[in-house]
Amino acid sequence: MKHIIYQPSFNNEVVKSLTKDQFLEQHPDHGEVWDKLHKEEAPKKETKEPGKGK
Amino acid sequence: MDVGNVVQNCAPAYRNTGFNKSCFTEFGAPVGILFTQYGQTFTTASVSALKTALSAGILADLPYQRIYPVQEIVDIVDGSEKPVIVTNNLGGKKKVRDGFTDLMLGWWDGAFCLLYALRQMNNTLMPFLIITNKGFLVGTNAGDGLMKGITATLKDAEPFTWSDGAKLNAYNLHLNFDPAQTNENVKFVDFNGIGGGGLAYLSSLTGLENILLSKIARVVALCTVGLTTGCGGVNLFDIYPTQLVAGLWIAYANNAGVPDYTKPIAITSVTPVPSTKSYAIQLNAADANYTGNAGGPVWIDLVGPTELQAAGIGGTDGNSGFEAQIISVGL
Repeated sequence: MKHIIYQPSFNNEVVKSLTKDQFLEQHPDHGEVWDKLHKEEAPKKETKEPGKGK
Repeated sequence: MDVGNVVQNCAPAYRNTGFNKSCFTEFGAPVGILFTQYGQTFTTASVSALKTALSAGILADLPYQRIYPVQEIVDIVDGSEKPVIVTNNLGGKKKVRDGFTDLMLGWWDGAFCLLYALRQMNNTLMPFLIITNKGFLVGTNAGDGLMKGITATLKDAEPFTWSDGAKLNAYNLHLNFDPAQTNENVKFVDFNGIGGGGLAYLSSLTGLENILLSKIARVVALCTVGLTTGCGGVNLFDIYPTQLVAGLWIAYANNAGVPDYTKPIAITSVTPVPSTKSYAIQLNAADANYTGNAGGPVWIDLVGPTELQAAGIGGTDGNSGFEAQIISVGL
């Protein structure tokens, strides 16, 4: 019997537009998705976002 | 007497009448109808271009640009009028006009669902192309390299008749039209030629099937929605348990009870919910179009038929694709 894996599909552009707090409000169990997408974006950024990385 | 703009063509017209016995065109029986849009024309210069136009027309997002097929016609009654002829006092006859073509086309497959849809469109002017069992698509001339649908004087999906225990319910489409459109002004394409695909291709143009969305639950910005087919109530989660991903859903803000298409609400994620055979749609609660309408209903829909089919949704099981019906999801 084929086993179906039911996983959320994310809209990457929307996730990238959210702060981590905003994302976790909507998806408390999937913080790794936000981390992954923002990590991919990170090399393009020359400076850290204000208020982050303290 | 001063009469202007009178067309007079008294010149004799001649056309050669010598044809090989095996030649050629017998249209056959009408086994399908493609209802088109008024003013819509189709190329006859290229079968592949015509096929592209037909496929795109069937999947058109906007209802007033769409082609609506009626397939699987199995009962054909020709009630065409006889030519109207007058007889003079000396016994000579003269034709007043041709009799109008009158077709009663009945189907079994699709039964009441198809009839119900067609009856909604009874009063909509929709020229039609005829699919024949010999693989022709028959319309009327619209200029060089172009055909258009036949304009009906009567297009009526009639009320069904009841079964008496010895026969089925009868579902009929009644079409009446000026025969010049399919005689001296006919334009047709033989799909049996190279790249045409014959009747098999023409019969595959079956039209869109409705998807009915239903609210299962809503918690703040999380809307859970079920999907069934419009006729028969097949739960589409059984067929597409994971395929309806985030990019295939759309959401809009509410404006006095109707969707505000100028205010889309971004969707963060979509999660299949097997326990209720539904999908949980997480709206972006930070979206200004959501926060501006907090506490009110939101409108949920799927993308158009073309995008759904591109994602592998639809185009099987007897339909050409799916179109979802937008729903309001309140708290």
